[in-house]
Amino acid sequence: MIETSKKILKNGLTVVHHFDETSPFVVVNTLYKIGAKDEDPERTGFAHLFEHLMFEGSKNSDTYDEPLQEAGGENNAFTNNDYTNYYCQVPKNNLDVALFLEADRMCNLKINQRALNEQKKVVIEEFKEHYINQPYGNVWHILREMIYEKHPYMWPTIGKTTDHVANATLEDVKSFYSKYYQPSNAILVVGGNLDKEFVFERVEHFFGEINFSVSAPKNSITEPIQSIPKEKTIFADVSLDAIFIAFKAPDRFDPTFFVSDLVSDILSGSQSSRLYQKLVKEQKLFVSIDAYISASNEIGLFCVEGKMAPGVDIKIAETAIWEELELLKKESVSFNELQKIKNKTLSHLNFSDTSLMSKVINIAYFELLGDANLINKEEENYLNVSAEDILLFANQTFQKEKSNTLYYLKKENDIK
Amino acid sequence: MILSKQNFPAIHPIGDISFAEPNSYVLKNGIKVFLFPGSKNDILSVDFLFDAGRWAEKKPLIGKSCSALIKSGTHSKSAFEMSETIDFYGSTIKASLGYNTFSIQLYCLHRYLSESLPLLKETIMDVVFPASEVDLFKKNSLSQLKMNQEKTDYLADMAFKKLLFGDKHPYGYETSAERIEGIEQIDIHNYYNSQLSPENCTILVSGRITDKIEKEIETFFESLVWNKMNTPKSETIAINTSAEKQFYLEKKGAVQASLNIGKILFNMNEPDYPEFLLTNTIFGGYFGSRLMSKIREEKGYTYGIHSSLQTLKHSGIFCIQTEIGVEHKKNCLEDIYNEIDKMNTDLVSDREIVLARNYLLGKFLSRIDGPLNRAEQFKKYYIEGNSVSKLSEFVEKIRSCDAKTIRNLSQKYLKPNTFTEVVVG
Repeated sequence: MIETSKKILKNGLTVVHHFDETSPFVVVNTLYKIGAKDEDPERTGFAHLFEHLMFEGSKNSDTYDEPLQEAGGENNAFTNNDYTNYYCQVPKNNLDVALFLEADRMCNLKINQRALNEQKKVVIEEFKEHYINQPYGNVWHILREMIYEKHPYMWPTIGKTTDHVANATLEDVKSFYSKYYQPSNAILVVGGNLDKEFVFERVEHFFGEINFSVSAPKNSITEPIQSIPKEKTIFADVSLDAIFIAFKAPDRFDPTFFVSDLVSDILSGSQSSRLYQKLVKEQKLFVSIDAYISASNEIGLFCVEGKMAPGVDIKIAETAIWEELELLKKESVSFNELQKIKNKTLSHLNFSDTSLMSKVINIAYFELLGDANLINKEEENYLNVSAEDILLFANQTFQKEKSNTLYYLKKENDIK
Repeated sequence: MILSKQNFPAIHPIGDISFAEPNSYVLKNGIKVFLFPGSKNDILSVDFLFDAGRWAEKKPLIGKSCSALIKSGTHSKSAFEMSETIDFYGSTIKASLGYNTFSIQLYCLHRYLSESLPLLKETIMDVVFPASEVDLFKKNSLSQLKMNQEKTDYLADMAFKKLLFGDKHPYGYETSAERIEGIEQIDIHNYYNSQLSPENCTILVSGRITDKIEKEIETFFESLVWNKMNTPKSETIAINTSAEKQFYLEKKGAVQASLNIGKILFNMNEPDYPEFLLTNTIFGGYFGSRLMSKIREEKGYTYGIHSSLQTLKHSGIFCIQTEIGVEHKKNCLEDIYNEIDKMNTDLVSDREIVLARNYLLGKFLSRIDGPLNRAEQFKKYYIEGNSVSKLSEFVEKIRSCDAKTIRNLSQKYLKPNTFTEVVVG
């Protein structure tokens, strides 16, 4: 049981406290409800680029990192399609330093052309390192665009192209900051061996006077239901042919989200899982195979991806994947198999909050979903999934007309 | 409060950092057990750590094959049955190979401990490595190798270690298609039977350890009787550093190049280790380092650049590593050597020392936060033959290290003419 207490400041900042007496550290996590999905389609990658600029110093501290390092702390941040998250850990007697720095960059960020130019270059190198110079690195650029017709999930967090990053202007930065980096658009979680009253008092002290101007705008976009199968073939410098089959799937608020997560575990993730056992071990069609979900706040997706064994006909490999998906639609999973997947999930949940840092990051995420206490409901939500739920989910999801298939092939090969 | 420079909070120094010796006992068969209690969740990790690793291989890649095939089946269970049973309890059993260690680790929930321990026992004593499983592993390893060879960072790392230690040394040899083809079932059997022996074994238990759990695992450990022939390992293996100090490989179509620059250095047993750690932190060991400030923040050539000292049981590797836009290769190399030159000529500022030192001390504290982390950290000291009390010694030396010492160490160890330089891309 993870206990949390919540308070909302006058300026709208949501503050959550979590007590953990075991760690010498305190973790401060600031989540802003702004992600790549809120970007202008012509200026993608901006939320992430902006995350970099948050480390360039603020009015009352020339740099963000230095005082934090001096305080014995470490910090980092990440951006995804739904939100941007900043976290830092300091020995608990330096809580004030962490709070001051977070508060100051929430309202007094230094924005200048030099920093923007530098970080644009850094982000373009990051783009190259992870999405261009890696085999299969551009898969999600292609797949997202295939799957989402209208929804801004159609581009990845890094942005559609390096040009979008290169074209960002100082004006864009300023307006983005004032629109989205508002106390009312943020969730602050503080965890550690410190009392609730003390933490709330310190947070009020540093964040209480921050002004609140306007509510952050929200996009709401409906995505048409897919009714014809989509296919695409790409030739690239890779040594193994690969296949990706993706479907739209429940979002994080949908009760069937937990079903989709368990289905991905039935299919892959351990040596006894179905796809690994049948397609890698028995039929030797694939070298590796995986099924996973995106766990996003709006329209999610479910993907099966496999790297094929040399010499295997891609159509045979594809058929073999479909046979496994069809099986899930026809036959209900056994009691034992369902129990196995639930036990695995139980283990995963218990091992995932062993560090204060990951616990606090998780608490912020659940508060984003509506209530930090939902973190304690996870176990129950997974345990409640039945074999019928799985059958129903499989039938609703794994339909040919709703599939998006990407053949990612070694150059000089062709579909037979 | 209105935020202003005057109101910036006082920064408090980092308090005591110490790592108490863990509780331990010795089993009848001579195996030492170390306990790391303290988790709130009902979780447990049991780690059988063998003094083995690549170092104990008679033939390259055999240790890795043994770890990859650890769930390939036992006398009573097929590979599938083995995985299926472990998975059923939500437990994880995994083997991992280090340069000098082979570890078989169980992670499980308290409620399934009794069911999981016998499976751990089977994994340690009874694996048969069926020929069909070995064949499939070899085939898939070949495909995996091809995929890796498309990555510039993989190629650079391989080339770098090979140049430093030679292609016959366990720290340096390359994974090649010929070597994968050469893996034989009998080699894996021999490795498993000779290296995973009680003589080589230490057990680390971490997580929530109640009295009941402690009794249960002790009874289990005492019940383990397995005989394996223990073949003594050589203390030294000849290092064959290549006279060739530069290796450049152009990769068609690469938009970034991977750089590895460095040399063989030392492990934690070298008296200069703690102060060198601080020296390296300032140079390239953290986000505020000189390399990062220059090459990422000022020049924007890269998403990240780091220098590190990887300590090993019998050696250590100092390496500067980065991925840079191909058009910046030359400039980046120049900048790196300029920064080394500055470290060797000028004294670093007191401010730099304070920042790097506190960052490092915070890192030390964070590495021993929580039982699972403590067990992991303990392992690092233990492998190199040290007690964890050494941490306090390191902390003291780092606290008192000054700019002159840093310059001396930099001059002593960061000599460009002793470096091996690899660029792929």
